[in-house]
Amino acid sequence: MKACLFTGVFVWVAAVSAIPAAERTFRLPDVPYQYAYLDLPGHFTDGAAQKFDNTPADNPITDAGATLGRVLFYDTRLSANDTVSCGSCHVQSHAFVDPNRFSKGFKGGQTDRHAMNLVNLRFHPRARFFWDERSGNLEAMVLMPVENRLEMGQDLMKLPGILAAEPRYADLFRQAFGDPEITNERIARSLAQFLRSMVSYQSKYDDGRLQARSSRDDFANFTLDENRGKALFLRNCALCHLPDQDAHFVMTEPVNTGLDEDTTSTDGGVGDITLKPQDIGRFKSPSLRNVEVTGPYMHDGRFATLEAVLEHYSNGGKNHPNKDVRVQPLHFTSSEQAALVAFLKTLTDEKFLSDPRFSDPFK
Amino acid sequence: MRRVPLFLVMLLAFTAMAAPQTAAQTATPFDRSHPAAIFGPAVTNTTVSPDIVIARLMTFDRDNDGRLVRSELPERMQNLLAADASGDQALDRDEIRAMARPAAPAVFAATAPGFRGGGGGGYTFGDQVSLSTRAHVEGALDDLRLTPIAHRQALAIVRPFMDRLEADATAALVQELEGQMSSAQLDRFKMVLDRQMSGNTTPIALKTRLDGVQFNVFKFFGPDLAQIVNSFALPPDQTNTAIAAIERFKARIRPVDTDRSALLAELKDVLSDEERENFGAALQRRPLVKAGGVIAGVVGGIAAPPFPPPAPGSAAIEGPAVFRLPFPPQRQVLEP
Repeated sequence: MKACLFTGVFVWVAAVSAIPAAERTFRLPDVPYQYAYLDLPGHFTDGAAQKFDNTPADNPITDAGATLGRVLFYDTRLSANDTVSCGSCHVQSHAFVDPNRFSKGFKGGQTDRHAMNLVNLRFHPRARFFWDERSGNLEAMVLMPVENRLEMGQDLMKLPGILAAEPRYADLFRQAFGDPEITNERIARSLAQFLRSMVSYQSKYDDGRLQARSSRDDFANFTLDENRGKALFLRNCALCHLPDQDAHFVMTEPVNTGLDEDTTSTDGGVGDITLKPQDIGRFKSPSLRNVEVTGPYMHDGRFATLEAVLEHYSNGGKNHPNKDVRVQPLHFTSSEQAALVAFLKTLTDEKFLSDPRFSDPFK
Repeated sequence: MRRVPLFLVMLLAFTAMAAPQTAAQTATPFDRSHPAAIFGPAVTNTTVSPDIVIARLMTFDRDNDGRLVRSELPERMQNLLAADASGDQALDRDEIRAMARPAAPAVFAATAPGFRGGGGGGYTFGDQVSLSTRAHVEGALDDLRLTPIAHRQALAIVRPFMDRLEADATAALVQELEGQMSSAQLDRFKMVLDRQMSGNTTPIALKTRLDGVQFNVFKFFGPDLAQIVNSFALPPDQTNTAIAAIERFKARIRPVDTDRSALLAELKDVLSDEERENFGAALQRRPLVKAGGVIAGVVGGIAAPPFPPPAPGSAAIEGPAVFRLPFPPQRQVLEP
């Protein structure tokens, strides 16, 4: 009887394991989702805010291109053993971060940095990506995790052939690029289009900003605490996190925020890529939009909560020789911290977090 | 004729302040050799030496042979091997040192004494470049989101307090400068100082907003005080003495611990404990601004007072209002 049960389980496991990956199929809407056109509010389209857009002239967002990018983003065939996709570590409900401090790669190995959020990548004016900004544009960035030996481990030489085994890709590539040829360049372009289409612009903050003349006005849809938090943010944080406009809560350059004092044995960030002494300990800062759900925070996910992050800035960080001049002790009181957190939560965009255009089509 | 140089100076200052931040980089897809070392204006006076960079990298030298081969480097750093000048598929200390040269110090660092560090490169404390401490203090009060009555009552305490602080500091400064420069130079200096301290309240135009509210546009031209002294071409000793006096003045108009305690005590009957705690914390902060040699621009202020006039019998509110926006922020109206 026991032998029989064991054999049954073995057969079931073997059968499940043998299901070819190609049978994991995706569903797309009959009428393609709209990605290319966004009805962005005025604070996104004014002169200063528009300058943040890094969309290159030779890879504009198209509906077909971003649709293909969406399928690729969630396709586990982009990993060497068909186990993980981009979406495995970049989870939509968490604004495309991994809610875990570190992510598991295709063989189960752990990364040593927290997966960055993918919110409004289109509006990073320097168009440099990763915590250490080692990628000079989004089109190059998207393939790096795919071929990374720890993350997805895929051989880019083989990838077009692997995808060609899925007959529906031919049609998607044809719609996106005019013919069914699958190349790594096209894979990268469509992934980049999909990432650039992920624009969060419908938060409570955006609703309030639409009704106000200026970000400095109290917003009619905010609570008193949220307006207090906004005022504190504008006075103490906006110089870095909301530079010269009202839409993009993103820093324009990497910064050393005094996370560590040690210059030799801690993560060097940008400095480990450029080897410039002044870059040691500098890191790219992701957008604060949806920051409520993008924890844990910092490049190594060392802070579990927003309160812990604010405590860091309240204390002014550690004395790294490259610490940015703007990181000064802010001495936030507990009431101010609560107001700031209340304001930061107004940057959460529930529509973005559940937008079907960005969801997993394989589910 | 006199307006031409003023206009040019203002234009130059605007250009200097506006230029560095938002230059979008037009990236070419698939250019993997895109130089990762270009980081715009954020170049600073780091004390991290190339030796530390070398020491950092050599922590990856697992076999301690003084050479870093591809397998020893994290994957994200393997592009560094492009700097392998000797062609031995490895990096040695000399090759790392060649890459680890620090960039030149930031130009703006001269106006921001004591500042260093990665990023920024053009930031300083507002009070170092003659931005109004009064505006910071009143802004901190504004951030408390008090009821209009409480706000008015608090301002009636804060403004005279700042008046006293500024008057004492100004008197001390003028006294220190007497004898260091001619009376004409001192008059010129006092005029600039007065403009900066007063918030430059001489309107040059009355504008009407779309919603019909009228506001004044003020001429705002304020070179750093030290630059005024430098423009007098005094002998070095006198220049240094005058600039040292200006630094002391800047420190004096910042409320220090005892000032803050005194002010908070005066506000005891107006603000709650929590509000006083928050106000005290805000006063400890020193606002940062983008640094530049000249502060110039046009600021506006609503012609009508932003709050209702004080009720008869209550303390009068005096002193200039300083706005950095073409109109004052709209606040939620709270019932007392």
